[in-house]
Amino acid sequence: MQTPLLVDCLLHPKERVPSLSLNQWDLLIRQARQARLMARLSLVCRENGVWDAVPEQSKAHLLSADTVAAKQRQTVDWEVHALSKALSRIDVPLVLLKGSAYHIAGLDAGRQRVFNDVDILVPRELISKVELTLRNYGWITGIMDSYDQRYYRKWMHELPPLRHITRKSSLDVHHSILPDTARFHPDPKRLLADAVCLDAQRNIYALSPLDRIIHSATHLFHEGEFENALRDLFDLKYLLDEFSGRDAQFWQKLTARAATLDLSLPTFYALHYCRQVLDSQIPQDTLDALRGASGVGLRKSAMDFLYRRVLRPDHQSCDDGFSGFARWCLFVRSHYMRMPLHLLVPHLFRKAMQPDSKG
Amino acid sequence: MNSRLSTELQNEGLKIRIGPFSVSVQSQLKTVLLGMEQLYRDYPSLDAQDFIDFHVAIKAPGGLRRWYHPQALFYFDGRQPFKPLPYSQAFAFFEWGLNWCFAQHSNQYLIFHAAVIARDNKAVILPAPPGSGKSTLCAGLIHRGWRLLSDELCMINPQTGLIHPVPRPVSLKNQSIDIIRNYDAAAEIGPIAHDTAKGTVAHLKVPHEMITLQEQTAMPTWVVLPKYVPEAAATLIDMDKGDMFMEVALNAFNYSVLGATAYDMTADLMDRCHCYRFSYSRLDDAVKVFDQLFEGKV
Amino acid sequence: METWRVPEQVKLSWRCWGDSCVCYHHGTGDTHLFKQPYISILEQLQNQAMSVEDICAFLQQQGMESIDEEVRELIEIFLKELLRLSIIEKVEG
Repeated sequence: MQTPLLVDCLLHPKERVPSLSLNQWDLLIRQARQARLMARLSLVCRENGVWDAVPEQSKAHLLSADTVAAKQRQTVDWEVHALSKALSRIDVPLVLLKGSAYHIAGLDAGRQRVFNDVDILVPRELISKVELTLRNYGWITGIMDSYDQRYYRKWMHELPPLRHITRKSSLDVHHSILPDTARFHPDPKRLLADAVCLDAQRNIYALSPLDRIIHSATHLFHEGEFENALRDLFDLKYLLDEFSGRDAQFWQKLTARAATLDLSLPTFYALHYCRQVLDSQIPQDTLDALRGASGVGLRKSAMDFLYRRVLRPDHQSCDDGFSGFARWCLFVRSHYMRMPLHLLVPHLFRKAMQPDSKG
Repeated sequence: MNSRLSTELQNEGLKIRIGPFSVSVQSQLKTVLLGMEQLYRDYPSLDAQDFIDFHVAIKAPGGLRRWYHPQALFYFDGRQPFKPLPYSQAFAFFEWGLNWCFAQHSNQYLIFHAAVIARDNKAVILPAPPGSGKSTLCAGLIHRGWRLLSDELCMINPQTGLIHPVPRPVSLKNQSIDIIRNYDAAAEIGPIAHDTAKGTVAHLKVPHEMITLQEQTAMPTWVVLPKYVPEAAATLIDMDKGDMFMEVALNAFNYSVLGATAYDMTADLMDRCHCYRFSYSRLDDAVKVFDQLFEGKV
Repeated sequence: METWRVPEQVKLSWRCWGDSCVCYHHGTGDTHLFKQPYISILEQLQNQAMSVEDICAFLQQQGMESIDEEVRELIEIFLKELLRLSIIEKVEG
């Protein structure tokens, strides 16, 4: 399959951006919009000295995306501020996950990134206490039918999504990074034990750099929603680029940590696709070691067929006849990875009966 | 219909410039073709090489739906941001959908929900609480010496503070359709959609010369909050600028997205403009008051 | 006695016309409209922690004559609203 224009321009801005025709810009902006990578494209153009080569019409879209990104930073900063205040009441550290963690930690992956919500991790035994405290500070469970409520509380690794009553922002409170029913069982205690402090005064933490990568990988390869799959893969690439440069032993440590957490398989896929789709420099022996530990076998070629269609901008210009099929297969797979089949079938059936709710 | 316009619409898409935006519209639905022929023939056309800001299409679902409760679907770049509407509302759907595209994806401007008209490039902003009669007033005034910048979107450039026109057909509801038809014989009105969420809706064509001036920005000079009051005389009274600030900010499309920039821009706007509440019942009286406003006699 | 104030981390901008002031909260990104005497009260809360009694005393000093139960209640409602909008916080201890 051909490399999508968006991926090409994000990876090789100096070579590709100055020579784009207006027609290509038209396509690039559309792919960036659907992939939610427009603000990142704007940043990449500025930092690689090709901003002046951007035609005025396209600049307008990039500026518009910059404005949205700035607003989202403001929102996340305030949510984090409010959360740290609330949790300080009960002496629970605020452990940020995913986008908000990248942003607060000042990582490259967090720059100009679009956020959906804030995700936090709390020790399972404190979950009720945290929920109660958050409720006092205005975070409440959204309207949900009792089936969904029970589903979340019984099977999921998080509370039903919370929404702040005045600010309308949403918050996911996790007690683990995968459901109990999933095939893999990373122990959240290990993740919390290794968490690193981002802001001592406000008691704000993030997972360790290795765990951030492994969590991001797990999320991408176990979640059933692929709208942001390419953005998530770029997250991984930026995390890998930044952290691998800081530590000579990085790749060995990552392999070992993935094995400890029982998450070699998603970590293998993450690295494999970062290399295959985004040209990341990943040592071959790291891939071999992860692959060996994960037990992935012949299925890999089928996975390649599916993932190479999903890890593209979710835009009609990037679809082939199999893209919809690939998204569906991976959606079912993600549920299969999270729940045993006897639970999965009734759940998907219920979802199918509720056309407007999200799986 | 065999015009160039309708051929393009039905095939690769009709590419036109509307204010600062380039738009490609694709549709094979008869009512859309009709509406476009009537209301969009004067916009400058673009060629295939041009950059397009918004790719939109109006389609009808296939299968049984064609016969049983036929529907129209709005596509923005291959996706459907809205649920389908009845087929009879297809053209209005296009108007609403395109407004949404502009308002949602143009944060390089601060966009208030307001009509904008101007004379000598001095603009009146007419914010739009529902039922204010803003569109009728605006439709009347543009047939009496005022230039239409927009019926719905007041787009202000953060660098210059100037308003950029996006002259689109003016949306008229219920009795307003006949009021405007009778008000000026030159008023051209497009397809009528019955039983929409807003009642009966039709769109008034933008006079040709206002489209030719669609790149001419205007300086915000007055902010007038209109209210249609049956039997009332046309009266303009000063309005508190703090109250007006909140009126326009709360009705803006992207005030919160622009954050501190929007706050500063809106405050500057209040500093620069005269702010009024305006109540009226008859269009002719309203026109007189606006003439006086322009001549500085208020 | 309970006291309130605008915390240090809360940055507010003000633009005023006559008796109206529009305030921008740089943290939440929200914009609020205030009129007198609430503007003066908020101004005071930016400089110091105050109780309802302190605010009454301040208003009296400003020339407001009858400070009755109703005024007290209005101040309490106002403080509750400011709290909800994350403009002020209760001072501990």
